[in-house]
Amino acid sequence: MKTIVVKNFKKHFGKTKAVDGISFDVKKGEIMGFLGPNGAGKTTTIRCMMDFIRPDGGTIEILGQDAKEKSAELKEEIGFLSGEVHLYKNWTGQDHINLIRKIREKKFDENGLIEQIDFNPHKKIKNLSSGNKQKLGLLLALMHKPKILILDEPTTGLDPLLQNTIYDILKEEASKGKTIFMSSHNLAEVERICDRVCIIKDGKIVATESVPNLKRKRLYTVKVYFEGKVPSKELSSNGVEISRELSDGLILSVKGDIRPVLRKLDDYKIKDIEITHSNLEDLFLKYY
Amino acid sequence: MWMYVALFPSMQEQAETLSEAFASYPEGFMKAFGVDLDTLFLTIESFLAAEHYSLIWPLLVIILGISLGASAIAGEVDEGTMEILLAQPLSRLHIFWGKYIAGLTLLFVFSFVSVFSVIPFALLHNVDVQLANHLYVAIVGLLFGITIFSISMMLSSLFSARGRVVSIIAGLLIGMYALNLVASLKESLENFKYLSFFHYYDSNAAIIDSKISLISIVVFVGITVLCCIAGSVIFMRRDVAT
Repeated sequence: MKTIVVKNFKKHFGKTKAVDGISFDVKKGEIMGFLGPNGAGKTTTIRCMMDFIRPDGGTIEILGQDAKEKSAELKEEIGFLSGEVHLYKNWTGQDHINLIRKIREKKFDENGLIEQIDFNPHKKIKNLSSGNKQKLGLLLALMHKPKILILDEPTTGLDPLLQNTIYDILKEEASKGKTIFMSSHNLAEVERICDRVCIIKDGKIVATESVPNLKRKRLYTVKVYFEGKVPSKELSSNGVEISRELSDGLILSVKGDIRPVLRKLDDYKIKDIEITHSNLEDLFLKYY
Repeated sequence: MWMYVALFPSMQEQAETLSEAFASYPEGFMKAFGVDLDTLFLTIESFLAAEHYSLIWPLLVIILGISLGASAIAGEVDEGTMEILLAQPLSRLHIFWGKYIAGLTLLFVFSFVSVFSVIPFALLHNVDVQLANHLYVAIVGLLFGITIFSISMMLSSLFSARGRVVSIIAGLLIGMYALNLVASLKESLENFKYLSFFHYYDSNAAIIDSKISLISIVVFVGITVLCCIAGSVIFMRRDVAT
């Protein structure tokens, strides 16, 4: 069953086509990544799903209902988290929780979640760090136990520890059958937690891939320095390109699985090695 | 209010002397500020009409109405906190009217508390008060405030910056005040007063004569209704970009 169905969705701002006729769907219980560089149309798509802004063409359906016409009803089942959470500065976290409780007219027990994310709800927002604000945002998105989570770059600007905490929480939520739709411009993040990835560039979908497929398209840059002779011919092979030859080393561009290259390098005396993952721009340049 | 009520008995005693002093001011100037020397020190109501309800009190109502309206929607969009509400199972209409009723309640409380605060002060200083007159000025002031608040809410629905809403409506009211002033000073421009809310906010008639003109009620209520409808439709349809 498809939880989210986007068909030929378009949105322009004046003459700029922010999103130009995209279509994709998200299955129930799936973690779908929405990957693209800045300005690709990710946030625009998410804001239309949440009915903050309205499409200029096409349809967005969530749980079989139009996202705009049935916006209020659908939000009973949706939890939303933005990359930059805006909160009422003079309120405490508890004030925000109480507001949501009143609006949703439900009894929640958020204490377990508060403990899990290590959050103090009694401090005023103006005294909270950005990480703690994001924790509150996550709490507000999860506390009413929604069926669907819509997240717009939820880990932007957070330290690795907190990012990992959020990933663990999301995986836990997905294991309970929740559908998660998450935008990101971080390839590693998407590879880590998503089941499928929808890739958007300049307002158009360029690919929808499973994560294993995406991992096969990984690019690495390997800088290796040798003691003695530099074995350029021996290392060049299928999926391995020599980007540059140095006086005592090589810069290799490796596509896909890096393990065969590392096994080959083990046959040589190496002074130093540096391996970096490709970034999103490299991926787009190479494949899309 | 306490200061006016406390001063009134002593001012009443010196009415003759003070009237002579005020008589040197141009008649048109006195008329523009709603000061009638014949009745100024007769009752606390006529005194308050000139000293309090001609400028200070409506100014407070204006500031309250504008700030409530501007912060209700435009302010929240500006700060980004509108997303908190839009992410909840609430329709746009629900959000608009919830904020409108909250603002209305505050205006109501302000109007009646500030006007009827005359009662304890009058008791304290042994001043006779006509309560019905104060009720009328509270009503006309409230209608005036609600109209400004409603225009502010409509502009707040349209724009995404609180400052813009404030500057537009402040400019509008300054213009209306100037029109009303000019209309009272120059006979040939008298009809300009009909374009000004300050003409329909006749606090003198309300507090001195216990009268509110039907045309004032029609104008204020009519503009309020139109702005509420426009504001709610605009907010329902617009993109909210925070």
